[in-house]
Amino acid sequence: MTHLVRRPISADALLSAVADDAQGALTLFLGTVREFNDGRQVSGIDYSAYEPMAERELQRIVESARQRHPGLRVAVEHRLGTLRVGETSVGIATAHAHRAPTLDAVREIIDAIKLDVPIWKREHYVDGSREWVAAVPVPP
Amino acid sequence: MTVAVLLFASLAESAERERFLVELEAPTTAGELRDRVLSEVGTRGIRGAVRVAVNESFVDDSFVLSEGDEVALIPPVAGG
Repeated sequence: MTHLVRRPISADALLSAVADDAQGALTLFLGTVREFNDGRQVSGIDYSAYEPMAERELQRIVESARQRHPGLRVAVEHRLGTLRVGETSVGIATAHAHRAPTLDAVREIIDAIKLDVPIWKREHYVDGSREWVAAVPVPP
Repeated sequence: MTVAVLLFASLAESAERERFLVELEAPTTAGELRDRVLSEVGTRGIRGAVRVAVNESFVDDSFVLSEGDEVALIPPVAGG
């Protein structure tokens, strides 16, 4: 599976990728482009990556989640390119016979993505300026 | 020995290039090469540590580089 995409992320497609009759719980996380960041009005975000390494890191994160939660099914996509406010930048779907692993794994996966996957974003503001954005450290 | 250096995001913008080759004397560590490149390129606009990846995996600063390595300088990431 390719985790980096340059087309809109479909929540339905992510859920379909992990759903089957053996699962009793499905959890979906979507990260979206928000209109205001640090008080500045955002018009869009460019996402770029060190693509081969980002693919490898995403795959490593997925495999690590499967090892921690036996029986877990996972689908992860991160979008690259220019996104508008409201569009989905990252989608994570998990499925398991029981709910706890699906909830725990989503949190672990998004936190790991923010820490270790070489993806960068440059925000465009409505005043015409642009700025590279540093990630906010993962809260404890 | 020759290694390739990859720059990304604000680092690539400051350096006005994304990839270049550099000639090094062995042994040179990942941390030494990073510090050398950053002293030339500058770290304007970067908040946080610049990590090093060799051949698409993160390495410690003490990692010793080899001929032909692809050395990526990874400014703070912002995926998600």
